[in-house]
Amino acid sequence: MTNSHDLSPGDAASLLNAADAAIDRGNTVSRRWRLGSVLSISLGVLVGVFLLASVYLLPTATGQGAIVISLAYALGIAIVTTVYNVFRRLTPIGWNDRYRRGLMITMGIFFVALALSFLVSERSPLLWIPLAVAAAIPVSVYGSQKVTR
Amino acid sequence: MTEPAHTHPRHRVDDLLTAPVRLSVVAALSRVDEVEFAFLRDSIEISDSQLSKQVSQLEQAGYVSVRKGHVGKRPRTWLSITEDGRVALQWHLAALRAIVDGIAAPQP
Repeated sequence: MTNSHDLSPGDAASLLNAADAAIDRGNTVSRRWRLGSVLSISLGVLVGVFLLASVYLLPTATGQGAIVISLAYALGIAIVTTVYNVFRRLTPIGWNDRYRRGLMITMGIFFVALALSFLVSERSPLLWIPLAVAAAIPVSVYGSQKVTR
Repeated sequence: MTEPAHTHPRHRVDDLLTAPVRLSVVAALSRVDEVEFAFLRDSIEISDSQLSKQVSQLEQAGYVSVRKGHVGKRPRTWLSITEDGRVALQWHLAALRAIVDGIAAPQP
């Protein structure tokens, strides 16, 4: 880490300015980055809607109907992730961790709610819509948080 | 004979990061998990070849990680800062600040 350079305070100040400018640009593009929010909210909505479909439609659907519903869900996931991968130019610092945490909680709530749908016969929207919203929220919120450090 | 203690901040300056472009690359990468090569090129306003050259030096030093990928058939190159790069940047910036302020170097 040592060197023979003899930087003057002026040289050092110029380098600091270059670094600060680059850090500022990094912060600015990270704050303006919306693609992560689009991905996260879209996935949250898809999971919530699929939970409702699993409770209200799948149990009474024909084989073909169940396939159509499942394919629509898979297609939605594929479209959202493809759009994200095509347009992504950067990932802000810490976003991957926040997104993964949110997605894990969302999927946890989804599977618990799905298991509950087999255990209880209650189909009131007063129970299932809040559960669907609860499943959608974690990934949507975690994935939409902006960089703070 | 014992060597004199190196307390002047210039002894903590990282040779590799004294080039403004390399410093800009590492500083920009410190604010993202990952960035596409072309996006960084446009962001710090240098040419493809310049950025390639600087990135390969930073990669050899272990400061930057390069990942090749594809979106469909289009190749994409992703850059990220390593933990060593992050530490080196912090020390380098601290040394630069010490030089500007005219104080002794920070000790690791």
